[in-house]
Amino acid sequence: MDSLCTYLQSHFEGKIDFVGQEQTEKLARSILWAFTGISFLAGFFVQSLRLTFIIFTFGIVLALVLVLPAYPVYNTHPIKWLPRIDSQATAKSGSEKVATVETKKDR
Amino acid sequence: MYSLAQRANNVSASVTSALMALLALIAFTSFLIPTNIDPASLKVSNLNVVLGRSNHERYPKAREFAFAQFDLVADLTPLFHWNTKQVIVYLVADYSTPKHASNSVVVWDRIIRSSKYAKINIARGKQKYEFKEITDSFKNVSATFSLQYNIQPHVGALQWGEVVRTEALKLPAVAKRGVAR
Repeated sequence: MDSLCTYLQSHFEGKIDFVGQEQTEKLARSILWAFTGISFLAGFFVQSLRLTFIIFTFGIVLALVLVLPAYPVYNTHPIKWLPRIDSQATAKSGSEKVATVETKKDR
Repeated sequence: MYSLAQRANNVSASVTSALMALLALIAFTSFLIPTNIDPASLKVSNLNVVLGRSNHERYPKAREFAFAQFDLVADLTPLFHWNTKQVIVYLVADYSTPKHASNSVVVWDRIIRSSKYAKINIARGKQKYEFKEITDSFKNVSATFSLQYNIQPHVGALQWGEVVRTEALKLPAVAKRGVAR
């Protein structure tokens, strides 16, 4: 049950990388504003308010469909993490320092 | 925007903004579309003033009531554009008395919901509402009757206008029982 929950959680989290985030933001905004203009002009010339809102609703749905799911195309620029620094050398030097402080106190 | 919930939040906020802009544009077009109505014909006849007591008062006072019959032919189709929800059309009697300079009384109205019903053709129409004076007497009063309309849009500002107005008609002296006028 726990593995199912984590699978669903990661699946619906819909993570995308930074370049993908920028792309989705621009895409959603441009779709919505384009459809605002299109729906207004179409409805104005046909003189039907119903047509305006049908076209606008279609624009909203289109924006949601293109932007909400984490499509693989939005994950094509994964973050480049720096290489791991080796931690063994720092542990040795730390214990040496502790030893010298203790001998000083004993004297 | 890193998660689905974030993107849904962002897009819904943008949708609200775009919708507000769309509604503002639609409201603005109400002022652009020309609403020129063909001249209508309004004839008011059979003016009559009688004494009576109102049916709508708690303690009815004896006062004068004016009655008029009207013939109205009007075509209000140009008022119906895409942003028109309904048009209220009403017949107003305007008159002035020494005590109050301007009085307007609505004696008849109609709500028109689509351009299909926008043509009005009434012969010997009866008034719908009481026509009474605040000083209880119509002595020496001349009234002009006018047809006015109020456009209610789907989104935006209300608009008022006048279609036609008669000339001043003198209301006759009150008909008293047993006294020849």
